[in-house]
Amino acid sequence: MLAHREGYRSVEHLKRYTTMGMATDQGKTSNVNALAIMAGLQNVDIPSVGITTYRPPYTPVTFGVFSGRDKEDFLDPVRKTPMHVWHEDHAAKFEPVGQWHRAWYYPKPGESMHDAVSREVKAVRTSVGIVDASTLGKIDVQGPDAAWFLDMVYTNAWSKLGVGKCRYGFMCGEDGMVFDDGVTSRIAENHFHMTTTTGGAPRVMSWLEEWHQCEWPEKKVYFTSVTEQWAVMAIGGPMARQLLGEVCTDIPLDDAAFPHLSFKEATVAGVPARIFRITFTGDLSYEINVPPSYGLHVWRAFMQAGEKYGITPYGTEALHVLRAEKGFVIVGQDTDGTVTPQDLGMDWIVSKAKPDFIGRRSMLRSDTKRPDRKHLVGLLTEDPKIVVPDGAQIVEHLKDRPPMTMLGHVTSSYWSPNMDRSIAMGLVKNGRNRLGQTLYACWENNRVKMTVTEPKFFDPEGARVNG
Amino acid sequence: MVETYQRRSALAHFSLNALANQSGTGGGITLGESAHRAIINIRGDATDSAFTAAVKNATGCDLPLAANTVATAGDIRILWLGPDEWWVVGTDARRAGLIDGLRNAFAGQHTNVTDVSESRTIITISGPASRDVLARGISNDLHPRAFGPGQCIQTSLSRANVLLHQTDNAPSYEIYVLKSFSDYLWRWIGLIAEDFGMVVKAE
Repeated sequence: MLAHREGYRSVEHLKRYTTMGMATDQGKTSNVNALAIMAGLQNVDIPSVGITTYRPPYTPVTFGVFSGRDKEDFLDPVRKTPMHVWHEDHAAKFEPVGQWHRAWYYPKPGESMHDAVSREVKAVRTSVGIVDASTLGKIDVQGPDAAWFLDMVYTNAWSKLGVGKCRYGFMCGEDGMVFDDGVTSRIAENHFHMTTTTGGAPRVMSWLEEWHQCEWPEKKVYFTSVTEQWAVMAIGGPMARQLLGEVCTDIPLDDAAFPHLSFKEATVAGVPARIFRITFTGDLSYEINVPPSYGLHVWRAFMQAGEKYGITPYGTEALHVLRAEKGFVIVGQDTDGTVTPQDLGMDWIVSKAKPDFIGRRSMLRSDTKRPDRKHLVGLLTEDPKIVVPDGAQIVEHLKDRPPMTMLGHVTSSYWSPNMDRSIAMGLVKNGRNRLGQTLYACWENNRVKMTVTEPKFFDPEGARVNG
Repeated sequence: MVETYQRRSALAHFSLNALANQSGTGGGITLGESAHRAIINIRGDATDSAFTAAVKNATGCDLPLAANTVATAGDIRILWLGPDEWWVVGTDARRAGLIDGLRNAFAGQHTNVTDVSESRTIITISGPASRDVLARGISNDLHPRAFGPGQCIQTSLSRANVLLHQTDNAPSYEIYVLKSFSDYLWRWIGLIAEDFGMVVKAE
């Protein structure tokens, strides 16, 4: 009608004014109505208004043509680990992590998710559990400048890491904010095995290549993605060493020969393996890396040998509870791109001696140095039975209704079977200077009293890594 | 050492041998899996004759320098991945020997040898309709005037990243794919290939 009023009365003008008669159906739906309206306004019958010129495609294109076969389970590829079929056969529920489907928990008949996760979490602390960790990103780093390069991309020091040793590290952006973490091990003088988060693997690979190609092309180092060169299973718990000793007999496993944060090449269930003694649960733990074509075989060998210990396969949910009991962070859950290592209370991981590393200069800014930034702290509910939801807002002074001044939010919150109470961590403004203070978690109409604590709940002295 | 029957290919859960028995004869497409091949990633300076000579020395095969080409010598193939990156591909039995041979030949040079054999499997597709099947999921021109035997390309096939290598004029192709994507890709290719009549090749 507007077109008509402004004098766009020819059908071709109407088309350009309104875009009716364009696009994939060339007006077969919308145009008919427009032409009828125009006919009404001009007081003539519809055919005398005329029709616009059709251009290919003359017939409507269905959504099916655009989508093709990319529907239902072809909508997006599901990436599966070499042990995926075992998880399926054992009734695992799966959780999407990027395109991967990871075993989430393994409910027994009649068990709720809460029951299954609690059972899995307890089993790891009391006997031994096994988890499929194949999805972790892995990057092979080689060259005479490999150690120099790691010194630049991680916040801590790598040059002096001994051959056969492993170390945990944070990578920060130029802004000094944490963007990935993982354990990297020195395979040989000029050869490292780097691990990254599952979701961050491609990003870290691009990050390394960008700094190498754009900033330090003269450095002699090569990066190769080897994420899928290895199937990885972690066995953890007080019985882990005994269990490993039954399927791996060609190396000594005692603390002196194979200490925490070291790695060995050995034979596991007849298969050549790299074994890393590292832990994401805080327990005595080994990450067994084997060729994927033998992944299922080695997994089954552990299940068989572990039967007498009550070996318990556990999923990502139990893994997250276990790490939260220890206060270990998940990058991307407890961090959001605005969090420095210092904000996490992990000042120890930032080298004071290194002349430079990515993010160092930003850590010297007044804003990143101020003592009242948001810090990661523990948050314990007054009522131990209440598990507050992730994302609940933290408030100091309650009012009858919002808005209230928000100090931060809950980042990780779980029922802890080993503490027999709820546990939570959160980012709270000036948090480390509030230890012992009472704050409130708020969501919807709920207001829950919480006490600020250190973000360590279980085994705070870290004795359990020794079994 | 472990019994070899414990070794599983990435597509083992599809029981390709059973599928092969059920398959009729004569389709436009023959699909299969070539599992457990040696794939060694090498890096180096293509303009350095010491490097190219060392590759030749260790593998018996010339290093292909033209983009997206494959050099072959006996049972060894070298696939061009980038200006300083290649895959040396051979039988499983030659894997350890190739790695050692390349490392020894490269001694003193800034090069790189990384075993990536276990990260990928290879889906083989052959027959007159292969090109039509691939065309449904690939944006590159596979017409004989643009792509033929001895050429390879890194691209996406439907929603999986692959390296595609044409091996003959049947036409036959080898599709290198990360194992985690192989379940998806096999089912996708199978779905498309049904339109053309498909036979599964035994392992």
